[in-house]
Amino acid sequence: MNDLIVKLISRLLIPFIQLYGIYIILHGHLSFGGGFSGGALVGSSLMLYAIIFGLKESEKKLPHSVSQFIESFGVLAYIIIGFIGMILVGSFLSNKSAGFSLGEFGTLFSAGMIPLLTLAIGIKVASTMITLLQRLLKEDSHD
Amino acid sequence: MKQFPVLIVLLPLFSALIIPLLPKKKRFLFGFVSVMFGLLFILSILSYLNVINDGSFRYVFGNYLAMVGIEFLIDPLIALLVLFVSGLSFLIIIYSFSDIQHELKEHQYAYYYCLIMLLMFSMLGMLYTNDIFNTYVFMEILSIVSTAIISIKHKRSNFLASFRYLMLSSIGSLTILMGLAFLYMVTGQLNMDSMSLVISNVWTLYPTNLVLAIGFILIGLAIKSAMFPLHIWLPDAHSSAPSPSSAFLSSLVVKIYIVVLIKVIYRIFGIEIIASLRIDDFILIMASLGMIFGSIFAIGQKDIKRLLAYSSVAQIGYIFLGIGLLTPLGLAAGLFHIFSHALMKSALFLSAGSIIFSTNKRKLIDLDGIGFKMPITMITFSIAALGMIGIPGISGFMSKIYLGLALIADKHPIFLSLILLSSFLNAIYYMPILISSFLKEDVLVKNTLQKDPLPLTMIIPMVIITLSVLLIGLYPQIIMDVIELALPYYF
Amino acid sequence: MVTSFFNEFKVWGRYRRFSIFSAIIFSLAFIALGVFALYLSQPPSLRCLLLGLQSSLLGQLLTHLSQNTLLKLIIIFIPVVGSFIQMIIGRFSDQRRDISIVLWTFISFILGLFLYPQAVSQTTLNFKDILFLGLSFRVDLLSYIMVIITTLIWLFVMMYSHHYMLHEIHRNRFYFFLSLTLSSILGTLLAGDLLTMFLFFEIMTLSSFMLVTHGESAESLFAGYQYLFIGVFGGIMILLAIILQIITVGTLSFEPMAIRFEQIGLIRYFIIGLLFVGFGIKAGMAPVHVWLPRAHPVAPTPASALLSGILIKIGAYGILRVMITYTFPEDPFLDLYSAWNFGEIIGYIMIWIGIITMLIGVFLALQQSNAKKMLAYHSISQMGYILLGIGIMAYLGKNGSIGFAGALYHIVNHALFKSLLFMVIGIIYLSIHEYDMYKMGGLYKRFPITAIIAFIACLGIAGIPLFNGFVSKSLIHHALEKAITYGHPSLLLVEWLFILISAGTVTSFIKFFSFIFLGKLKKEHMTCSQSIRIMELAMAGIALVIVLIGLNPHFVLDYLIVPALSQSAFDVHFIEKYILTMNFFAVKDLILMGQIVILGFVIFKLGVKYHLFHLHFSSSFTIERILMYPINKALQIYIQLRGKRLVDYWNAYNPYTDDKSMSALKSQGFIGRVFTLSNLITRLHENNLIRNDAFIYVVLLTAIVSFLLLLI
Repeated sequence: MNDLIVKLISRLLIPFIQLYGIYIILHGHLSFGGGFSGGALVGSSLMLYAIIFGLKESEKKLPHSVSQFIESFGVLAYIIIGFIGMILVGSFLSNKSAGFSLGEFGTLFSAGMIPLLTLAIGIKVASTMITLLQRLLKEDSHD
Repeated sequence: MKQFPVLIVLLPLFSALIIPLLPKKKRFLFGFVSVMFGLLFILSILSYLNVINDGSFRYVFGNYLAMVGIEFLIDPLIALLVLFVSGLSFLIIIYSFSDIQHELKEHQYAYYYCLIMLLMFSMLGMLYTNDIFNTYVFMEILSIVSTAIISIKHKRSNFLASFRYLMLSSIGSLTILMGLAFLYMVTGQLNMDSMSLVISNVWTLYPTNLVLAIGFILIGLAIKSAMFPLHIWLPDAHSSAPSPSSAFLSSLVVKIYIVVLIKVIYRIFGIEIIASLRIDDFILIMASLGMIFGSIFAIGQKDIKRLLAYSSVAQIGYIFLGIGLLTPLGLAAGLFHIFSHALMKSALFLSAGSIIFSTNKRKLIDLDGIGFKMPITMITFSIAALGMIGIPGISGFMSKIYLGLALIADKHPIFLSLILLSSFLNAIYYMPILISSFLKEDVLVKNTLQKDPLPLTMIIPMVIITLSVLLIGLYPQIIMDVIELALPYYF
Repeated sequence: MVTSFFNEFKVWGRYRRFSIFSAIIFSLAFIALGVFALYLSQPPSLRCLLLGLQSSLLGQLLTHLSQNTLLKLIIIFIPVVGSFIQMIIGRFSDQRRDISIVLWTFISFILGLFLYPQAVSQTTLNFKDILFLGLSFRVDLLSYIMVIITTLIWLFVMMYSHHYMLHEIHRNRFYFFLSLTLSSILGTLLAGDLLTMFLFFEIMTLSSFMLVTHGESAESLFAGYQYLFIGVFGGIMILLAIILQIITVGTLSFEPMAIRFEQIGLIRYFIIGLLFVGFGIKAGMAPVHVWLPRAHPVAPTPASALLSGILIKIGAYGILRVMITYTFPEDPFLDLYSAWNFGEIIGYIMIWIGIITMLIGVFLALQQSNAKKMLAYHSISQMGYILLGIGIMAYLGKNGSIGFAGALYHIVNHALFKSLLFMVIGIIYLSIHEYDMYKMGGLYKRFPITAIIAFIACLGIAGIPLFNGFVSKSLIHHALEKAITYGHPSLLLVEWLFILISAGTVTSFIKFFSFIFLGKLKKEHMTCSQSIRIMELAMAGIALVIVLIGLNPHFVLDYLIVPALSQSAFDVHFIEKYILTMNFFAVKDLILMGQIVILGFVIFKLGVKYHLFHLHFSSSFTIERILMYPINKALQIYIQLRGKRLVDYWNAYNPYTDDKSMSALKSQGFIGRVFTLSNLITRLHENNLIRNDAFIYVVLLTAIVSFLLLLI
């Protein structure tokens, strides 16, 4: 889009959307939301950027190779955390018995490994959404 | 050793994530994929030997209680199925190294193997799991991935076929979800064993819920595993997919859904409830209709892969016939036919794929005299086709005998004559292919015996599959003993 | 005469190596037969001494060989090994390959002779755990006789076929499948239970299919299709019977089980009926013989000789084995009269099936002008004789030994003279390229020795005394007389038909011999090439066996068939009274035979004069049209009800040809049109089914859920 007002407003708005999304991800074990919804929010901010500023700009900001890496990395982190549980205890994805500190109930750094998993999932979902949009836009530009 | 099931399930997922990050060289990719599959196969062999020696065991995730967490139950049958699935997919993958170079573009190879790895992940997960919702999750992954491996070839027929498959699969998944919701509403458990305990107590209190649940789950699984009237997506999907995908779909994916159905019927509900609701009669009738009509529709086909797809519908009818008897003999016969049909159908699809690879001909009219140009391929095809018809010495004959004995022991002699009628119909459409490929003269080239113009990676899997078909045909105890070991877990 | 013989040595000279080798094998085979005959004719106590080498190395080797139970398996696998080796040799030289073939068959023959001690003692060789129920091999004297006659005739036909096949293509493939067929035939004969027999039976069907379609012409392919489908159908019948038997009786091995069978109830009729249909398809039994007149003429002549000579006997062997197993009681109950009741009913049915088969065979044979087709119909007719004998055996129960002896003897005799007749036709075809009898004549001038051999064969099949056919036919006739005295008087009709059909056989072979060999030599045949000596030598071997059996009928009867009888549950006194002391040259039988011959001549004269041999039914009177016509009509009505015009039916095309024109449609024949019609219907429904997928899902879901809700 070439409209000046839209570009200006979106430049102001995108960081706040991302902040809100990261908040949802980080507090996934405490309040509503969690990895999927927080990731969707962060992803929507990236999608907003892609729609307004165009496919080429978006690809400069988040090229395809980086997003591929992030997606694989997200699930790999999940698996590796699970493996830690398996090596130490014998059960995949063990939480307390694998030694993750449970902390105090209700604070940010509690509940063992669940925040780490939520973070990984949040990053992956965001990256997936922007990849899908880039793909659809690329298909559209071929016709 | 006890950790191997988790490793077996996670290894494909791991490779699926790594593959897009690898350098995009063909040989590197193929090497990596074959190393991963080899590792998977070795792990499954070790796990199988472990289960045979020590007995079955359960594995709980996250160290939670079984009722709260996700549990894997590994009994001898599941271990054998996992071994079989990993072995057969290894052979099909070796075959696909040369075949996809004719079917897909260069930049798509990595995505194809990524999808195959996800397919393995979901199949093996669905085999192991003892938690019904976990099954649903894996089922969703499997639906999407199997759609994707059909439509990865960017042709119009593929798109149409995979779209129809996706739609029907989604309807099926939603139906299953509805059934699961009804079950959870009443029992409050998601683990299969505890659910079955609660159901046997609660059956008289909430009959409507459970009846609706069984109805919905049955229909949903029937769509996905191609039971007779709901098999409609199968011919288009399996015939337009690339050959390794057809082999995967037709031999393995459909069977996994049947195994899920076995778990639902035998483990969750138990045979008394199913028999009192007369569902076994329904399954028997649909199975026999499938056997007859699958073959009848196959007789009129012109395209070889479509003919093989309809033949799959007929053979799946046999498996359902064995399951619907609700006796140990019947279940054993149905399970044996899962193994034997998987081998024979993958041999058929691989040889059909080889023919298309080297000569680009799919119609039956063009296959005259091809037995001389490609003898090894046609011998594979002939042995598997003769097994479908029921010639002794090949595994299809043994499954017909087991099914026949199970049927007569349960006093259903009429289905026996239906099995034999269906064998005769099988002969009607397989024999002309065998005859015209070996006896008729090709119009362009004189018939002289040559070696197949195929790379070695395509010939070796076909030969190995043929040898296993013959081996299991002569010594069916290899599989039957394990099945009989595992039967107490289902009754 | 002698000089002309040596002038023909030039013909030897082209294929000298093969001819000399075959001549050596020929004499060795006859020497072996002579030694074996001598061995048999001594009483058992003297037999060891005859070898004279009991303690020496050769004697010990021979006894060890014949007592080895694995010998049965080795005999089955020798032709298989030989088939692979001959394929390799055949790439280089035809002669060497055929030499190796004759060698392999000879080795099988000799090793078969060595099976005699095992045949007497009936040892079983079991392999548990293969094929879920285990394979077992057993030889008793019944199968022993059949193994000997199979390998002997195979040997002579292999000697004959070298020159014949030089005029055909794809020779390696032909010999490969021929050896495979021999292997599977030996497997069927040496099987100890029904499952092993079924395994080898299926392999035999598949490998002989390749022999039938060897020529690859449209006619061969059509005959092959028919043979294959009907054969597979027969196999399925036998499979069903096997499954039913496993469930009801529990064992498949060939021991007498009439009492156990009686306890099953009415299902035993179903099981026996299935087995009869299954084996009867191979044997050319009356309703299901339709493949025989199509398949035997289109195969190359050595294959026809073996198909007609030996393969159909395997079907008869199967029926015989089934009869002995299911209608004979086990040991404790031998004297119980009611134990044989089942056998009586089955035997009576089989007698009528046999007579009808004979009648259909002879009647249709008289109408043929193609010599091979005529011989094929005669095969059906002679199989009727054998089935008649088997039926009488079961009908008379304990006293049925004459029927058994007659049937078995006729199996041996028919194998001999039918293969000989086919070989005669083959030699003539090689020179003249003509099968039509009406176009030949006066060929005795060009083929003198062949004419003599053909004459011997015709005398054999017609049943003239001093030749082997007379022996077996009079045995069956005696059996028939016993059946009339001990049984139902309606069998008198059977005896009249028997006499009539024998006369018809005589007529037919008078026609065969006189139209081909006697009369005037046609002009175009005056310079045709003459026959090859080694082929005539092979034929002369079989003719010699025919004459020897004819001159000394009691030899085979006393030393081979009667011991086979004593291994089953027949009444010993009856055997001693009627069979051992039977005088084959009694005046009553000779007069009866004379009457039959005169009747035959009369029919021949009448037939030639009033053109009775040219009755042609319209081409719509085939059995498949009778079966398929209602189906075809029903399908046509269905299409018209659905609103499609019949023009669309004509425009549909066979998925295997792609040609849309009407002439292509008509050229597929009646069965092809029925198939095209059913294809059209399935394609109509397939698209509808695919388009209505969601609708089907909804209907099914609603139906099942409401049904289940109704149940609770």
